[in-house]
Amino acid sequence: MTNEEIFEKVKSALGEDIRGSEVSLGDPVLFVEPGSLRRTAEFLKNDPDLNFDYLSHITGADYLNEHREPRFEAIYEFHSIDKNHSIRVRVGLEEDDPTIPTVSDLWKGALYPERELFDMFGFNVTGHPNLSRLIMPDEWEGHPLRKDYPLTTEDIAFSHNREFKRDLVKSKPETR
Amino acid sequence: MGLIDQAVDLLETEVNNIKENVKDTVDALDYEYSGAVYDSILTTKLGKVIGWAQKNALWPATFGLACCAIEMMAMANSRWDAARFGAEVFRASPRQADLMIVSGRVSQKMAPVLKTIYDQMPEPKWVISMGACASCGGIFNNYAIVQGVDRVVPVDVYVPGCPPGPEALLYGLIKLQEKIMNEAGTDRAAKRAA
Repeated sequence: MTNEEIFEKVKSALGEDIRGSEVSLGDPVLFVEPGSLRRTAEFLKNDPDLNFDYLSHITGADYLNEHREPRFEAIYEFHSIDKNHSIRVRVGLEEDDPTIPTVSDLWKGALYPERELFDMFGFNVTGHPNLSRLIMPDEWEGHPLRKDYPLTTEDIAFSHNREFKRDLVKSKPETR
Repeated sequence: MGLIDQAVDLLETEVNNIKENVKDTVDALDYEYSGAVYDSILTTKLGKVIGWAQKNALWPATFGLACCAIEMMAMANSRWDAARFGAEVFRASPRQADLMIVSGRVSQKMAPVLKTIYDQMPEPKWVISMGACASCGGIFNNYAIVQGVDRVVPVDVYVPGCPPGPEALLYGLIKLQEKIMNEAGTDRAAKRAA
């Protein structure tokens, strides 16, 4: 199916649930609200003409300081192996309550990427059977891929100014 | 008997008396200090012998973390041949190893694993921090990487480089052997074995 045919089919079936659509570098993109993600995903998977049977990945985005509302976005890439077409679904999430329903019952492969969303962005994925940290240690604080997470863990003890460098080395944390 | 002969006899007796006295004193001294002298000489020498044996049979744990591990493997193979220094037997179990070569960046999640492996190794044990990442975090000054493995385990030798070549690691190994030999027979070595 061409991009236009996909858009037409999805919009005629889901109507108001689709907040927008665009073609980005040749790929069709749908914008939906978190509340309509389940309906959209079920339709994309179960409709015989669309038949998106493969979820290649899920990722997140943080648009802090980008003058863009809402702040967060969860991005899903669906493919159909049989029909040979793809679609991207972008779900905007509010800063106060980034909650998103799981799609892991439709695509088993969503289990790990959704845990990664929780780990790296702090999205609350409702309905996930085991929502725990995937990459960072369990007792870790903070979500590293958020833009307001500190980029470095300590100051670099290097300077061309020798006196300043001495101060830098002095302020390094204790080692065993 | 002449006067001179009498004088000679007296002198000989006197000299013999002094000799016996000296012999008694030396015997007493020997008896008094023999244990201490014997102990100190024997234990330091024994410590040196043990140190020599340990330095020539360092068995590293098989513990590769990143690209540095490739250079570590190259060090073990025939071209650089760590067997020349007795360090070619990479043990798959930390229980049989006494040297840990931390070869590569240590992530936050790997740090407790590394600590466990270090704790499982029998005393005495040594650690070589190989490369910039293991020594100080290297280019990875971020949330994922431990900024120097010395935050987790005590390190004996740091080998700089990114990654260090096999010859650099061999040099680090030789430096570690020197350290073991210098420490041998001292309190530090005893503390290490405790």
